[in-house]
Amino acid sequence: MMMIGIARERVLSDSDLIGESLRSPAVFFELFDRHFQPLHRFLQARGVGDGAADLAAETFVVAFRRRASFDRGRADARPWLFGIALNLARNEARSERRRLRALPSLVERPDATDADVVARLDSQAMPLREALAGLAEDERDVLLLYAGEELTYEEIADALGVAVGTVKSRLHRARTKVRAKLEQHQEGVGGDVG
Amino acid sequence: MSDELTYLQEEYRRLPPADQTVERVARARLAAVIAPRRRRRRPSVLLAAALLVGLTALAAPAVAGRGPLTHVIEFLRGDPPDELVTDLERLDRGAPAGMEQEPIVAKTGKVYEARTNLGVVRIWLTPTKTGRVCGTFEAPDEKGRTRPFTSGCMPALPNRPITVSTSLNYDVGYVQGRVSGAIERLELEYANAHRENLPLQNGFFVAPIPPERVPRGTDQPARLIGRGEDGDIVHVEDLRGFLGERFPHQGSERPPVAEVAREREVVGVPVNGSRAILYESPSRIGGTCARLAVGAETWSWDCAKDDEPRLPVRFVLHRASAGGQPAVVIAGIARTGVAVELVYEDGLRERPTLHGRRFLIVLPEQRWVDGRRLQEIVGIGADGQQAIRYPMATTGARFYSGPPDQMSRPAMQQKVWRPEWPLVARVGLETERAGEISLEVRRLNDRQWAETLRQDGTPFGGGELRWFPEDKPDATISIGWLPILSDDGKRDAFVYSGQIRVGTGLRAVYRDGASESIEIVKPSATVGPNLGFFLFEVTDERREKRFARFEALDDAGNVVASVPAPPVG
Repeated sequence: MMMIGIARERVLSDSDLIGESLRSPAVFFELFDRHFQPLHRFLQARGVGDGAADLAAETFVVAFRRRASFDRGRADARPWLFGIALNLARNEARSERRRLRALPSLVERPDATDADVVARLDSQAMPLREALAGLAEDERDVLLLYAGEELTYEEIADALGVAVGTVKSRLHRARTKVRAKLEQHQEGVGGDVG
Repeated sequence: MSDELTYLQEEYRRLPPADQTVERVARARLAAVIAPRRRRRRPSVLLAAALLVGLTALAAPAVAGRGPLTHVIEFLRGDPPDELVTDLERLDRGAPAGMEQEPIVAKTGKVYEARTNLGVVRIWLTPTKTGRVCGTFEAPDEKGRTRPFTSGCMPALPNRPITVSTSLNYDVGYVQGRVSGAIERLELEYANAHRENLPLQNGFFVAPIPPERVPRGTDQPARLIGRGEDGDIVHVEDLRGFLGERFPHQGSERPPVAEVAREREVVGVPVNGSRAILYESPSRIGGTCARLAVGAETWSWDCAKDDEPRLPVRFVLHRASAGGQPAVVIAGIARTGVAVELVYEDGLRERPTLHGRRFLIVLPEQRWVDGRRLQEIVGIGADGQQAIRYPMATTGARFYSGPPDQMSRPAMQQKVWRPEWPLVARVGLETERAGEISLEVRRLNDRQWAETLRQDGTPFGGGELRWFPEDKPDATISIGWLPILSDDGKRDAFVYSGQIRVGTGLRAVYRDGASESIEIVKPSATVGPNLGFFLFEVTDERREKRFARFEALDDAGNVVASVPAPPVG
């Protein structure tokens, strides 16, 4: 059978879509289609385990409600979306810590550490889990956004609400730690796998 | 990039994507916020939609819809035809490793069906194991029988507001595709701004485009306009250039049947200090071939048998280059007894002179301006009745402005040369006028081999072939047709290259029942289902004798397969 159909594409920027969604809300689904999977992947890698799906979904709900405040001068909505997702994730972690503190008799551990959170990654994320174990939360976020999502320093700074210099120093620290861990593995010493 | 970053990137990319249920649930949550109005008005819709999503997901996980504002797939009644099932089962044949689609054929369902003037059109959807869907478009053939026509695989959920493709089946064009859940209504707008609604079924649409709106220059489809539930425009997809303007010069290569050594000028029209000329040459299969040239450049070829064209009038339109300036040139053919009339926007009507059945028009520049442009090309039968009417594009017609059209490049020919594979067969043929043609077969294993065709030692074609024994048995004879054309037409040769199972006899049969045997070359190692190879030239003498078909014979001399000669015979 001959294939003679030709598909055509004309891509609107994220900013265009958000602007258009102010008049036609359903256009926002296009933004969802573009970024749901990367956002879900990031949250999964970050270590929220089963909560990644819920957080990713909530990110878009929040983003839709706040879309009027989006800076239309920025074509790419990823820093904005990742920023929302990270805020939600931190809020959730705080809530969880509070809940855990309130139920000490039922939970043996007093608090959820970063290592605990990382440990919740499923087995498919094991190599990432090993590499990221021992990183502080803010170091891990910077590293994942830089290496995984390939955001620029400026975009990461936007997402985290910090200065570009802070991003660079966090990234440097994170890379140094991960490099050391990988070298340990190569030498057969083994490392802390959280 | 340093080692640790590369390592992290690789591991990051290995993370599994969110499965479709997760994505659908997230979309439904978003939809509930985006469309609160709808939820208030019809509180049961969300639940019903969610149930539908769930049910559809159970039935066909990769095809399910996406929430209350999306188009939930509900398969229409009816089983896919056998031909479609066979096509789908063979879809991955020869696909490179990792590129297989793996359609779940048993879950094929119908998502669109409509009756048109020409017959029924349908779209079938087949989920794949890789989480995509394969869509197959069925359209009527020339006898009105609906058959699989085009197919392609795509993401299970639309990733664009409007995904569209176009195709041409005989004289009828089709604009087909699907819309995302954001679009509730779809309109098709033509070049002259007329709009019509396109019904959606499960988010899919098909618009048959009649022959009168297919040729370049006519009032063709220009845009698809998608509207949301509230009637606002959600997305506009530009269609210009899809049909007639897509390959304006696809016919500029010489058809093999044209005997160019006997070409003559039919009519010439001066333009910009140059000339547009219509030439005619005999066709080797009867009838004539016309060549439109402007200056030294050939812009199109058109061959017509002695019997009448399918349409009363047909034409091609070019924005050609003449004397370094653009020129609008129209060349066409009319059925015997049919007159051609040009109708302009200012009311003028004129009938171009027919030369035999052909006509050539160069639109003067004063006819390029708004209000004076060509509005219709009409065919008028001997009875004075309108036989066909082409509405021409007047507003926004690109062929009235801008630079001349680009000429097409010569077609690429695949040349295969696998010197590292052992040569297992070589067939040589001394042709009447085109020197020595040879077919070399090099074998990797019994399932994979390469065929290279050479003319006087220089490769000019061939391909890599595979045999899939687990598939249906291959045909007893497999034949390819090789027109070998020279610039002046004096060294043309017409050769068939083919394969046949070893042990089977082969003969060429002529119209009067006479026949002659064809030698089969057996390879030194088994190729495919034990294939032998042959070359056969349709010489002038064989053409005179009216070569009709190949026949394969078993040991007892019984005909076990027959392949009619393609047209050049």
